[in-house]
Amino acid sequence: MALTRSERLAIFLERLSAAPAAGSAEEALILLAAMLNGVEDEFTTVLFDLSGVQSDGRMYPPLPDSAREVPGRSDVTRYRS
Amino acid sequence: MNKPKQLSAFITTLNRDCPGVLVEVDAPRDPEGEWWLDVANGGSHETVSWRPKVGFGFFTTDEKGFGDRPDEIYRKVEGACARLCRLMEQRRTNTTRSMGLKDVRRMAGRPQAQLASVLKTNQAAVSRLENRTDMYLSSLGEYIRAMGGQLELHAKFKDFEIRIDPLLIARK
Repeated sequence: MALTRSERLAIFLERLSAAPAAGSAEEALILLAAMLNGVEDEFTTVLFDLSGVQSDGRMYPPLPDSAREVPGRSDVTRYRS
Repeated sequence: MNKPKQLSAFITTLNRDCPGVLVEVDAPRDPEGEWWLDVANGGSHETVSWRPKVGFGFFTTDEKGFGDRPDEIYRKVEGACARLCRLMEQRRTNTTRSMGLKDVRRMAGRPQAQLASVLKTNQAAVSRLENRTDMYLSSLGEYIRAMGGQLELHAKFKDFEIRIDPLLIARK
């Protein structure tokens, strides 16, 4: 069943909210990626492909190169994607 | 962190071409990573992605998402600025943000007359082609090729994805 991106985003957020809390930043990132990739695998026909640079219609979890510093918080890493 | 040269040039050119824009730079930890620019102009806002080895990426659809890749990529500063100014104007005037053939030709910097000469036709025929709502893929392919581009056609299925050669579409 193909859903719109907005609909898939809503499902992803719903599943993420319902998931057990992560114990660390690393676990949180893994959880987020697993949830998002699961939703995209289930509701799109687009295969996971990190090699492209242009939109293929699929949502992707944050990549390591999107990590950012948080001023004054050396213990926190922010991702933007 | 110092901004890469191409990013600084983009901001300078944008301020020249679209006066009044406010640009905020969101730098990655790794300078080779993905930079983001938040560009505000009046009430409108655009997000631009920039990667050193890729170029400037724009998001032209308004559908909410997360972790999307840009749907338009521009490798050069001038083209990126021209498109961003146009996107902001399109948002202001609430007109469509996707590109038609005429827009693509303008981005490629090819006047109709020049294209007509390459296609061995006349300007009126190019104008008619640009205003058609439907056309042969071969005509579209020739039009794109005449501007120095390449038409690609992909089909995606649940279990496989394929690239279709537009010139072989009718092969038996």
